[in-house]
Amino acid sequence: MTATGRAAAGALAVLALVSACSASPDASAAAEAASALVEAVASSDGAAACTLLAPAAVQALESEFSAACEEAVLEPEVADEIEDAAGGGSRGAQAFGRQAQVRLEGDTVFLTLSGETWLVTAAGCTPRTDQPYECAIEGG
Amino acid sequence: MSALRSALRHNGLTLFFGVLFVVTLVGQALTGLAYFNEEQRGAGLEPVTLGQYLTSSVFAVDVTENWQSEYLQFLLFILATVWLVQKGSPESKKLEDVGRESDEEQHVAEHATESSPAWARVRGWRLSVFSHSLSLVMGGLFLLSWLAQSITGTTAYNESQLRDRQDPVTWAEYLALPEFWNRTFQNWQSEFLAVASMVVLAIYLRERGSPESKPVGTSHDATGVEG
Repeated sequence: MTATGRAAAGALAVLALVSACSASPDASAAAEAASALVEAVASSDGAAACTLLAPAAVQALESEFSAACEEAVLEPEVADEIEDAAGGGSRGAQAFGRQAQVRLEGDTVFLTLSGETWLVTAAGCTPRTDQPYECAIEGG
Repeated sequence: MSALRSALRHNGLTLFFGVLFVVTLVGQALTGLAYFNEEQRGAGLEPVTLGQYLTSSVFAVDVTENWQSEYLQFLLFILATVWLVQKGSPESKKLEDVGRESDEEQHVAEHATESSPAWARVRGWRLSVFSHSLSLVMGGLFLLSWLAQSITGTTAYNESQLRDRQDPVTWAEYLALPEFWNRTFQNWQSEFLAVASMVVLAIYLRERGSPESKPVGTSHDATGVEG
């Protein structure tokens, strides 16, 4: 390849980098979705909570409790883990590609992009040493 | 029409590899998209469009990790062949020509010819820069591609971490992870193997008409002879 060709290839590398950076998703929108889930669970609004969950999380909840999502998400072993974070606010949100992590007071929430909307894939999560988080809601 | 045909003929090598580059990049994009969406669906996540995939770090890191190793390969080959030789290889200069060579041999400054590039004709910083311009550009492209690999690699790694419900890492932390170095070394080793193979095989084997080979009837001992 000529020097011109290589320069063009280099320019493409820069383009790839710039496009990758410009495609960075909005972490603050993910934080809002995570807080909305916590508030919905804390106010016992199962229907609202379920609209914020990714399909795989809904499926996992319904299968675990053999109940509709609206009821399953308010089961004590799920709700107790999540509603602790109500009113605490966000301690930080990070988004990479199509995934995000939001740290709330007393909870960590994982989300995925669905179109332009953030949906929760896991919530009520607590860290474990050298292992994935353990989550009350987990799917997707 | 004959001017176009002439331009195509005079730039055939660049055009051939340029077209191959574009076609294979498209192939990588389409197969990469299919593979990425397979993983997304397997994890119960939404598949992405081609546009979303092309602007993703997952695609960018796969592209740039290969680019950086190619530029490194050529950079090292250009620099190493100044000082190191291989007896019998057309990829090597003659054994007695080791080093930077004289100004006369390099046709610079007062030894420049009428057709010498402007920056090669007069002593000074321009001649110094032009004397190393190939390595400087190759080295710059290598560093740029490697930097791009590290940045997009961090994002791609973190996306995977979050999908697996694990904490993301910073760019500095990513540089110390096996993931980064494994991606890097697996590309480097193949480039170095290819160069070493070419240097050695071209001592004993020929491709008639190729400037990368010695003429078919040239002895195995002849060094620095191209067909």
